[in-house]
Amino acid sequence: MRVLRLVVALLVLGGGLVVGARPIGPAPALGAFLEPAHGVWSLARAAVPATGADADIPGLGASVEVVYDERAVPHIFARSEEDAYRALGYVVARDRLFQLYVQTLAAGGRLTEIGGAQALPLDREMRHLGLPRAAERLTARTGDTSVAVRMVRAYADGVNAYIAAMPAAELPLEFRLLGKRPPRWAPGDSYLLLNRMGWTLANIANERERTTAATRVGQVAADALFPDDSPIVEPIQPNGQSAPRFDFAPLPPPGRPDSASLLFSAATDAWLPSRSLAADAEDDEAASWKASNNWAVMPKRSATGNALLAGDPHLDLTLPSLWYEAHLVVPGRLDVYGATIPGAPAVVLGFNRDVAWTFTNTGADVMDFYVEEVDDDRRPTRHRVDGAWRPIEARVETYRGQKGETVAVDTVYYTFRGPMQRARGRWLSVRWTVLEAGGEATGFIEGAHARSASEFEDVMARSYRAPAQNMLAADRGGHIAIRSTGRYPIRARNGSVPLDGTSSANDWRGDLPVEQWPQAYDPAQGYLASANQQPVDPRGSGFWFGGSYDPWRALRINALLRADSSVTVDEMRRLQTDPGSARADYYVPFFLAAAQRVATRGAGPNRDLLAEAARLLGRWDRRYTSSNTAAVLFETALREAAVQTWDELASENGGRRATPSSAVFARLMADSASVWWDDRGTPVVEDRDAILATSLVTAFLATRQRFGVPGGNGWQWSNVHRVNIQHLLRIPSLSALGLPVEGGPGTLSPISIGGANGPSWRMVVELGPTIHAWTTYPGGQSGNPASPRYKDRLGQWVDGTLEAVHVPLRSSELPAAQRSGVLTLRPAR
Amino acid sequence: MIALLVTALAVAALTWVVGWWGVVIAALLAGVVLWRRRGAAWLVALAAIVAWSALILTNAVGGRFATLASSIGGVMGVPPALLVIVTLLFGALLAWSAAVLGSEIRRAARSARGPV
Repeated sequence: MRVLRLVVALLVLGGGLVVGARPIGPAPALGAFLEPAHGVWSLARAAVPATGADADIPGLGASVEVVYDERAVPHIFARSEEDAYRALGYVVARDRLFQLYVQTLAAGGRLTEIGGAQALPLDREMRHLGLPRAAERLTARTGDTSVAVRMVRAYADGVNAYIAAMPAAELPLEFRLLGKRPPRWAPGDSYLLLNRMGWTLANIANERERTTAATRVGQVAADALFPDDSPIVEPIQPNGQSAPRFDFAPLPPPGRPDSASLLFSAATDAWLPSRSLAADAEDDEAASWKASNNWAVMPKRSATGNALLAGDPHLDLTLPSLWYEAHLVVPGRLDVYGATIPGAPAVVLGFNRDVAWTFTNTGADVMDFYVEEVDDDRRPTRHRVDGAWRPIEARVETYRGQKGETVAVDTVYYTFRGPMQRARGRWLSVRWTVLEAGGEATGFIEGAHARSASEFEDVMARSYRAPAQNMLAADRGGHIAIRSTGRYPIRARNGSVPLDGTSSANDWRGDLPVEQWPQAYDPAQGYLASANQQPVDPRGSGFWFGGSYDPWRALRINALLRADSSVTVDEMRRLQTDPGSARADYYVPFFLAAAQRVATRGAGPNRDLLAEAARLLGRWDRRYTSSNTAAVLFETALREAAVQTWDELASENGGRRATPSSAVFARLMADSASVWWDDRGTPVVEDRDAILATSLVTAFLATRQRFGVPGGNGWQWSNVHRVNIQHLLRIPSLSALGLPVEGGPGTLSPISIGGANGPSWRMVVELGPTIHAWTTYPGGQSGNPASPRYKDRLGQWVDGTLEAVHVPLRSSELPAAQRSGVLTLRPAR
Repeated sequence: MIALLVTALAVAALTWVVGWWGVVIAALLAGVVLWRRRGAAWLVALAAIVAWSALILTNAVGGRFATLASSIGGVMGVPPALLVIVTLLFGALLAWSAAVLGSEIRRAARSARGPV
């Protein structure tokens, strides 16, 4: 019996030691994970930070006091800027260490190190685009002592100081689950993240759709269906008009297919495969739900007589959030508050005592493809330009697995233009401004010192290159300014087709000078607004910016601001979640009129259904509120109308169609007898009204089948319009899924299909004698899922409310009641 | 009772200092010391449960234990309570098996020296 007991004990002990020390499958090693002193349970303790803490930081010049307010925002009081950014690195690491790690892996094409081979496509995209190489070259190039480089290094020192001294209990949950330890942070990691943002905001959807369409309806029709210029003109740079202009010329009819365009599609699929897959998964209209807004009003249009500024950049929503809110104070030198990107030593969107700034994406086309002639098709070493051979650089990319094993090895070739890939049997290289950027950190760091809106714009114009942003600024002097800041290459011809790489005549010929960038300063209209619309009126600009633009939000913002000459802070806030839609305002009357006309000429057996659908749509106030019961009918009808109308753009094998934007569809609305209306699948020739009426009936039936009684609770917009904020590892229990929010396509606060993209930060700033600001973002300051600060701001974000922020000049200005903790950082001996 | 408390204290202290191996070391030693005692291994297992429960409790007091347990339970796909039980069971099994081993080592050593 004793022997048996011993054998059992040995087996149990052996088994316990194995599962305790080694991960089994996806489960972490249970010993360190479950152990109650320092294992995962200790995170419950770490979730509530001590109200007082201190740490010794190598390299710190003098003590730094970090006071956390009741919103968990750190106010960093330092005696030098380097110390301030060093402290920022420390506090960001303290709150968001895993985010720093996983973002760096994603940007560096190293996700296989935690995700194994299944992450290989994502990693390959980063490396084949050359993003890690660009960051490495930037790091090597910046072996100087410029301000930005010093701040980037100081920030890295701060992150590493936290990692080195991190109490065992504070090791983030995700590291424990993955069985990893946080690696040291390198200054180059900051550049990687900034490059990654360039990739996030890259915009090639329009060109890709255009080339796909050309293969079905010819180039002339494709150019009209996917135009460079928006048919609805309400530009960022005011054009002196008091209303939007609708350039609605009839669309040319479908022509003969043009297969030459396939090369461009292949190129975009090769370099941005994840983007292509995402585009294929949703129609183009859904893609345009991704959005950002900003606007500012001058004192003459504000109720308080002070300039006001609002901004809400729309990006992929994650937990923890992309943003981290912080305040940096160096007396006499720096006093900046706002949203930082964990990993980047800068306040990207925010304000100082004099100026506030916020950005939207310009969306210009700054990526060109070149067909290269190489010496060896299998292992190219040279490529020909103007008859002479130029060298090709080969870079071996090794992808590591979870245990450091080699998952895959690629060789990526580079011409002087950029990385090469094979597409449709040809070698193509890509040139992209993001790969040649580098002054962005300088811009943010120096922009924080600006004393006026114009100074901010000029600082950014000197340094910032990519991705181009519509940088809106307002200052305490009552001035407002906007400039679409970035690098715009001057080309021999536009970059919407792959260019002949054997001729240097096709290379970029310099950059558009600053004075020709879209911009405005203290406009007569008294306000400025950008919402990813076309930056300049195409009638007033001879420069090709490319890109694709969504006009609807700009229409709505401009309409509301034009109608209000006494804007309040609260109206600025309410605008950010305004459920009204210029898009619905435009389309609904067409549907209603079509229903009436079709009924008049005899709607056949669907007459009653059409009348019922029209009645429901007619009663709608065209606002995408959570409880309204008609938005779902309208959206279904509009989508159905697009599907029936653009049947010429569907592939013959049943693949996805290239779908023109709703702005182009709006243009078609003005031409009721266009050949595009005809559904080729039916024996009759349809016109606009027939298609709209049929779509309305089809949508009514589909909605009734899916959501039950027409107009009932099942039809509520909140049933279909929800936000899904995924954890960085897409773990459902650490995510916030199915949040009902207001807004919809064309509104100022749209949410993309899947609910994963939306307003990532909201800010309103009043620039009076004393600056006042209100902010929120979907998430919270802490990356610890057990922390009360993990997603404490979600409620107010869903409700569309903002919180007033504290902007103390010195730590003593923050009373005890508004403090949640103090961290003292001392120079390490 | 004293043996239980002393063993629990040892398990807690060693867990705090060396991590999860602490329970194995403490239990092994306890097995060596308590080898004559009937049911010593079960007592050590109970002590491990007491010790680890106390340590978990220190995390729970003033902490965000319920939220954390719920999050981890969600990640693992198990109810939060089960996760706590698994934690305690893991410690108890290690303690029991190490204590059995410890007592058998002591017994074997004594046998090797022959009868006194």
